[in-house]
Amino acid sequence: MLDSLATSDQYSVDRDRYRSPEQFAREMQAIFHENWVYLCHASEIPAPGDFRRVDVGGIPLIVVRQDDGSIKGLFNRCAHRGTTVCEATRGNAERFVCPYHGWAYKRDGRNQAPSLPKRYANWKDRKGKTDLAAAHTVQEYRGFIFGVMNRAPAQPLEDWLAGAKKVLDVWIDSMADGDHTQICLAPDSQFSRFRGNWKLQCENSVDAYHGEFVHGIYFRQLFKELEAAGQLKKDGLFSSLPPSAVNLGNGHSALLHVPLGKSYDSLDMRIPMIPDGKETLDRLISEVPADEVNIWKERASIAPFNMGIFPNLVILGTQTRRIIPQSPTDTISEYQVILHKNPPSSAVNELRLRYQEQFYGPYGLAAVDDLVVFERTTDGLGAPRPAPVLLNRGTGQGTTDENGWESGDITDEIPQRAFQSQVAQLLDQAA
Amino acid sequence: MPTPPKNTADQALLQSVTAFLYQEAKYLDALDYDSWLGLFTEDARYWIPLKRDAKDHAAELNHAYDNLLMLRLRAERKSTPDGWGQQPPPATSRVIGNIEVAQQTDGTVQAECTFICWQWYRGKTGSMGGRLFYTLEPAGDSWKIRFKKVQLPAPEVITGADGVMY
Ligand code: FES
Ligand SMILES: [Fe+2]
Repeated sequence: MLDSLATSDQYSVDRDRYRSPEQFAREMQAIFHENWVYLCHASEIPAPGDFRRVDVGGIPLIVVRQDDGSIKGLFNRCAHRGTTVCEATRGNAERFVCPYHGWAYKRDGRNQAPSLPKRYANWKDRKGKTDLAAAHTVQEYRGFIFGVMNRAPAQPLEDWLAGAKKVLDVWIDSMADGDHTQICLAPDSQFSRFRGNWKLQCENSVDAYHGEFVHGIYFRQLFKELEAAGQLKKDGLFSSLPPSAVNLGNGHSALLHVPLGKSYDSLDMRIPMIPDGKETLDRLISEVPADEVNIWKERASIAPFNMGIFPNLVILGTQTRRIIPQSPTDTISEYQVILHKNPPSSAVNELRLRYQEQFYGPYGLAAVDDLVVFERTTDGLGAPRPAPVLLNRGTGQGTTDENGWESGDITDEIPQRAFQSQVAQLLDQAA
Repeated sequence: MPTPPKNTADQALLQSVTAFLYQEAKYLDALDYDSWLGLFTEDARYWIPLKRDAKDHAAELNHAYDNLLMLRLRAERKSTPDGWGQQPPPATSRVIGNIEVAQQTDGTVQAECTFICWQWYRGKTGSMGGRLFYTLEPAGDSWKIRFKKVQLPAPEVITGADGVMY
């Protein structure tokens, strides 16, 4: 078993991990249907009846806020013949009505009676059997809603989150003074789609090795504008504190741009390329209380880490990134900008939105280049040799950091090994 | 609100703007970004909203809300060997039509038109359509673009890496 070599300098995975339909089917079941997956953010469904429609490894799901404030994950499949009962991506619904024969479901999933009920002889006895099915478990951790579709969770959510819980805690505390309800997602999403396996996006989102190569043009442009603005720092671009790559356990991992909990003010470096950047920053400075300017400059900028929460959520830059597998070589990613609910100046969120547009969106200057690399990887893996795919950078050179996490140079393939080991472990357990 | 021409002055204006928009489309199809960028004023804005009913470019997420610098950076990617998403750049062929113009009292002109753009990118053909909105400033015997909005019919679903500019 290749994955038992997690600490060896031979760590590698078979190319079939990125190509095989059998592998993909096993992954959807073992990883997306039987373990914790990210569903959506609490700020997307604040009020009773608010829903968000998502795809969970091929299961169409409606995440709905209930009248008592709890959250349900309803399978978007009519109990009659299977038609979806919800088409909108987001909205508010009293009921979900099937377009085919008109069966109607309350927002808790209950079906009161079939339409034209007279031809159903024993209808009354079948009560409850024609409700929408629901995900086994849906649970929130500080705004992030996760669920397990088809069975009781093997671990409580907080145990499953492992080290990711600590990173989330530290970040939410610094972003929102501990009040996670002050963090929300922008109401609209950007999407990207590429011809490649979903794990390529997961691995890439926590890969610092590629930045200089895939995004060389972006950084050259950035440095040029910084130089023109007289802002090019010599000692590290954003911070002189050491960055690292860490294994957070259970497949979660992070690139820490600065040690966890340290301040990371990278906003000044973003300003020269942002349209109206200078004016917007000046407005932020004039509208925010003087003793909070540094805090809000940091909050207007990017997260101090890229974190992959296994299997399908990444928090990086200005955004959450949800990875939505479609087939072994077809993947959609959804990007949502993380915003502040009540910032002291509208400039805070504007700067976050502008950076998202500039770097990540489908018209951004950088993340589109990753998509092309994924497609070229898909093509390249058509060749059977040299097998297998190497993920061994930095093996044998890691240390344990002050949080007890396996840690290494930020360009080490620690996150990729953590991720792939978890994939292998869940598939082994399911086998 | 631009309307179809009603008199000869309107006709002349329409003819002049039409020639300008055809020229712009030709530059874009030819990947001649230096010439294309030359059509914009120094303080120009180029907007691709994310939503059909977008109102506030500042408070909402856009696909693009560019100043001239951002447009230049985009253009540069198309001629850089490691601008991976643009190597090779998409090939396009576009048709501009239904052009309407309206003279404003400050000397600028509001123009609208539709476009259909056939495109080829990384081995696949596709197409995009939409509506373009312009604020044009007189410049010699022609025009410069002070503001341009690209209204795509279903902008939410833009997913590729082609980065085609409309
Ligand atoms: S399939 Fe839904 S009512 Fe028939
Ligand atoms: Fe990247």
